Amino acid sequence: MDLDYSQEDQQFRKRVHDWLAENVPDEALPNDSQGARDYEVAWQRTLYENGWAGISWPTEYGGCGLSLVEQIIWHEEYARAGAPGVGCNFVGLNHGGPTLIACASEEQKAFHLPRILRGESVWCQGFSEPDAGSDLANLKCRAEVMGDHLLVTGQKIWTSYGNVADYQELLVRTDPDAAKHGGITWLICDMRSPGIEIRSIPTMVGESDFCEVFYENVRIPIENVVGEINDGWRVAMSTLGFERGTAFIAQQMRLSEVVEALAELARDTPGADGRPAIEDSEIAGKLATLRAEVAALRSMTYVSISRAMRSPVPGPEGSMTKLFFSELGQRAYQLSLEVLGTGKVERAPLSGHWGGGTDWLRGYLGSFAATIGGGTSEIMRNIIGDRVLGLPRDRR
Amino acid sequence: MDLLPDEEQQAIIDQTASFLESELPLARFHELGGQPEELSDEIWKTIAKLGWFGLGIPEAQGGVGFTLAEESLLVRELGRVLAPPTLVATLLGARCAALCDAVALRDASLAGEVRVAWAQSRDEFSLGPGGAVSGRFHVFDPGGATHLLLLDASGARLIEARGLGEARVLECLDESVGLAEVELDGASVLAFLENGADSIRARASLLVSALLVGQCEATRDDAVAYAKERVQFGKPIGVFQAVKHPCADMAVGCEAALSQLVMAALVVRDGLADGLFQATAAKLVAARTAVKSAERNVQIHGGYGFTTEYDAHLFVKRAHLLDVLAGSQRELTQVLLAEKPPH
Ligand SMILES: Cc1cc2nc3c(=O)[nH]c(=O)nc-3n(C[C@H](O)[C@H](O)[C@H](O)COP(=O)(O)OP(=O)(O)OC[C@H]3O[C@@H](n4cnc5c(N)ncnc54)[C@H](O)[C@@H]3O)c2cc1C
Repeated sequence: MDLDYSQEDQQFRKRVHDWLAENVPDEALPNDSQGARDYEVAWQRTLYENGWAGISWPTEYGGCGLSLVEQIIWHEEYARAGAPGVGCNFVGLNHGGPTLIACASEEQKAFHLPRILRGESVWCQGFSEPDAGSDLANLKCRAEVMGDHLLVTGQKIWTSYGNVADYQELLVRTDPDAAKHGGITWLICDMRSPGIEIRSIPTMVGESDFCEVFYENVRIPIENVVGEINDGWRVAMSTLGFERGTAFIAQQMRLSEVVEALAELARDTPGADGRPAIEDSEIAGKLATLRAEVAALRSMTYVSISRAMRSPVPGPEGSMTKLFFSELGQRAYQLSLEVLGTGKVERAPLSGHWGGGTDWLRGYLGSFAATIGGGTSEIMRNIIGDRVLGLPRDRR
Repeated sequence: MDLLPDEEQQAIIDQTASFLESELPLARFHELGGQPEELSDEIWKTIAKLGWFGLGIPEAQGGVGFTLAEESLLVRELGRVLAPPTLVATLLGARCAALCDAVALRDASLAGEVRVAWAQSRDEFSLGPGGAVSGRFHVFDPGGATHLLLLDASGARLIEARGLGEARVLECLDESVGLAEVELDGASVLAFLENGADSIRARASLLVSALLVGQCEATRDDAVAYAKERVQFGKPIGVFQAVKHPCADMAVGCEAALSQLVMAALVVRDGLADGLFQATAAKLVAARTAVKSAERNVQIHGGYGFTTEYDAHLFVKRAHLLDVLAGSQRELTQVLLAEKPPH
């Protein structure tokens, strides 16, 4: 067991640090969706031009092919430098692209992967439907194979960045008679195809990147099927292990900044008796616990990366980090409201696109995104109970 | 960067676990019948021969020459079987003696002739001329104890236990651990390891965390095993999410507490600036998880959990006992708010 980095790794850290110090943009992320997209793809382009695009992607597909240790270093320095969050490039870089790398044809890869890396195409994920959320395999969005194309009719919901995306990873039902997990196909959907209607759904935070997407006889060329027809469930699951937890480091470091800012807030905000809130023993205790838990989250991330270095096959342990992280973030923002006391009713003016910082009220409202999106906390507990602990499953 | 045990460390874990399985299995509590556990001289000597007390002491000072990392892994195994806390006090005492060049005391500790009991100050203790200690203390495992270990922010002190006069015997929340109240009046200190370069305070927190982590894991395993085996409404109760989800939370708590233990052990071992912060975080996370998991485990055991026929009650009691050693949650809060976390 050690915390050491090799000479080469330390040199790598310096190179990353110096480059980021020079290049991280000063301007804040714009408030509107289109402005935010422009900002994020411009940053992706900068990363690409300087050889930093797709840090966990293999080099044969244009990525950096960094080792796990180098990825840790990258993300640590990235967070310290306050570099822009991945934003609308998330699906392309962390899910869609990796799925194509694992399952797509050479033509599909040659067309799409460079565009993702260069920030030329933004991807979104069309998995969830009104009746298929936690129970994703219950999806019904229908696609009929008509010779050289498929005709898609149905609806998707909760499509993040659907309003600004160029492509979508779209799960459709191609065989309604097959068993639930069979009969599903993974398609590349051009978001500008005729017959697609996108509506923004206002969220409790007030942002508008959250969409529902309607499809009416949308023609999708047969070449856009990834993997085989009716083999989409396997394709959808193929990326589960692609990201081995390194990208988590930046998020976890941001959470640590949030907790430090919260300590600051507790020092500056008077409590009910006029003394600083931090002198209230209950608030002090919760704050100390948060600090300790943020440290534990960081340690958990390093342990899971240590596991990844030994075994190429990821286990279900990732759901433990996801659960711990999302609920910890929520507790931090809940405490911020306690610290604000009666002041919590007053919203701060919107300054820039909210990215999970110290706008406490938006942070609190937004904290549910992490406990619901990407699999709810309850589903995480099911996975941990079933697959980590081997508890008996409920036969559904 | 690697936070998993290497082969040698795994061997220490395996050997310790197999020794404990035969010599100190959890099942022994049924024979104790609610009395404090006092290890026999024979087993104490065997443990000394196994090198536990000197595991992390440098070879030049008579120890085995491993580090805090290996000690933490060993003590975590002790935690799993709820081994008497006096073993960890003795390990810390041996280090105190060794690093203070109290050679005779060190050698006696390593030879298994010394038993150190935790002494927890009831209020601020005072220091007289020559550093003599006065104050009122809770002493855990007083039976057979030759020395007391006093910890505070300034460091660790070893005091001769014999000849302290009448101790008031108390009943401990955890019946398997002896408890006495002792009044010290100018007791002389045999060894004082200042909390400096060696950060004995962080080490003590960390080793108690290691006990707690092992206990968290044992509690999780106890709950999961019962949830698989107990059938109600025609199904193992582990099928019900009201049982499954708390088990999942225990698993997450174990993962967090163990990860933080290992991280802190390495940070303290390597003498990095955030040692005290990391060790304190380890203790807080482990103690909170241990108490919560133990409570849930009782609930999962239903009526049996309320009895002493099952182990569930042991975990609750021991978790609260360990919570007060080497810094209670309230003291840890102060440290965690005063120390700057790393970034
Ligand atoms: C911020 C955000 C971004 C998202 N982005 C995308 C996206 O880009 N693309 C996309 O396809 N989807 C996206 N989603 C959708 C997300 O994956 C689903 O919301 C999630 O899987 C839950 O599905 P649901 O909303 O239908 O809730 P439901 O599945 O209906 O769940 C409702 C409640 O029931 C509980 N529940 C359900 N099943 C069980 C069970 N078996 N055991 C115990 N409890 C259960 C849930 O935990 C929850 O509390 C996003 C969601 C959020 C919040």
